[in-house]
Amino acid sequence: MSEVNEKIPGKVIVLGLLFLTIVALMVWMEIKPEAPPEPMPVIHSEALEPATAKMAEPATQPQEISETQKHFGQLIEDFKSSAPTQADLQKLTAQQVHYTPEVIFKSALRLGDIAQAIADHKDLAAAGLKFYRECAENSASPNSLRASCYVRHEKLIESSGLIEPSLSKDSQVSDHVKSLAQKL
Amino acid sequence: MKSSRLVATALFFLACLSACSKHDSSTSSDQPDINIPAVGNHMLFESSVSGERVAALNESISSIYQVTLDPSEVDVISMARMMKVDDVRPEALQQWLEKRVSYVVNDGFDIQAHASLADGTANYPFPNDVPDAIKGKLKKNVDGSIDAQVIMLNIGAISYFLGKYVHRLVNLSLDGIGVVPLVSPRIGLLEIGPGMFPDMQGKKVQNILLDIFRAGILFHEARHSDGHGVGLGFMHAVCPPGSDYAGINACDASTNGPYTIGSMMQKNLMKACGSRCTEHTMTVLELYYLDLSDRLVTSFNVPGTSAGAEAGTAWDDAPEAIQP
Repeated sequence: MSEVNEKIPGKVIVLGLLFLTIVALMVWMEIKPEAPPEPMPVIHSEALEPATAKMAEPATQPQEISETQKHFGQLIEDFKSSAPTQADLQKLTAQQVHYTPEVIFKSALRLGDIAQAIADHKDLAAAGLKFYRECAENSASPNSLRASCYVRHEKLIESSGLIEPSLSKDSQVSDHVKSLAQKL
Repeated sequence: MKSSRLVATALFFLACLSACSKHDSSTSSDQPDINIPAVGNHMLFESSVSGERVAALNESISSIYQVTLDPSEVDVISMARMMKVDDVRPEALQQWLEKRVSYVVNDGFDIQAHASLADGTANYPFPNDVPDAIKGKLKKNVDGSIDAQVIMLNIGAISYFLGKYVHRLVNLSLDGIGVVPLVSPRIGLLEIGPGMFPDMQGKKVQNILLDIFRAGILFHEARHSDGHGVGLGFMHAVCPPGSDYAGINACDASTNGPYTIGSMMQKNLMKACGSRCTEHTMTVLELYYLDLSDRLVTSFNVPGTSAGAEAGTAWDDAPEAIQP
């Protein structure tokens, strides 16, 4: 028995090392960090249209929209399709609106998703600015939502360095929304 | 033999490493929780309140200790002045809260089923003062029981007022706690419900987000334990036209009422959270703050309010109590 054991180890070691190399390569492939996101191509989706002419050159060649941008477009659609109007809120009962009502609670979570996506992917800033502007200008929306978008818009101008007019002079944003935003 | 064991061990180790690395990436979260060590408190929960809700409220109070306020901040100074506290350390804030919130019951709590009226009349102060928010909305039942449609979830203040309305002390029986005599709105009995525990539909958020959200609500409800006469309970006013909640009792006529206290607490905790709160958390909390801070009624909106509780002014927060 001991003789057999003396002969086997050489083959086992070679096979084992070969196997180990393959497994190690597989493990390395699994845990290596993801490649950084590709540079932002020109976006053709309406939801992702850049906020100003300065921020994106007109496309000459159609290019593919990245997964990140598709996902961002979906986040915006999700927000738009579920955000309540001011009239919706006024149909709720006193008990439902005693604290932040559930519809605003959920809209806040979606707005948070959008803000987080922009923070994680700087190339979404232009599309983010456009979204925030539209949201702040939407007169059917609740004041709180509009003010939140206003605040986010102004912060994003600062953090992104993009050239974009402030909403402070925007006549489509009510004075009430502007003063509410100033409370933050 | 030793070599084959060595190889087998190495293979097992590598297989485990591979599995563990996959596990880490699948469970890692973009919204990392903050470690919040438990801090004791003196709140008593009725037995119907689930363990999950008790844990959530306890964590919310504990979270105050993780986001210490800066006493030199303008917003913190303003809040402290409103709360009439000199100290904004977590211990002091908890003490302020616990002076006003002692008991917690679940949503659906039936006041009439748990209330009994003590024998004899009780000597309530300001006997003829009725808060503007509920003038004309109260009725006394023929059988002597009490009925009301009052907008706040601080049941202690409601029950105190109902006792005052019929000049009798109200005793509330709380399962697992005992009988609580409502001698003052400061007894601090809160009803908690879905508004405090919204359905997250499986969405993962930072724990501190919900903790700060709930802390804001606790301080809001605590303010309902204050006030006297027409300002008793800092009851909510009807929101004016143009408000998101126009026509609904979901605003404050006082400048130092529950919405202001709760929203300022939320804002200050949010700011103190700083970089430990993610962009997601900050954005969400900002919107909650904006929703709550836009609920102030001015004298322009409601010109005919009562003396001592005029719209657009700070009301006297001294609580009242049954006199011996």
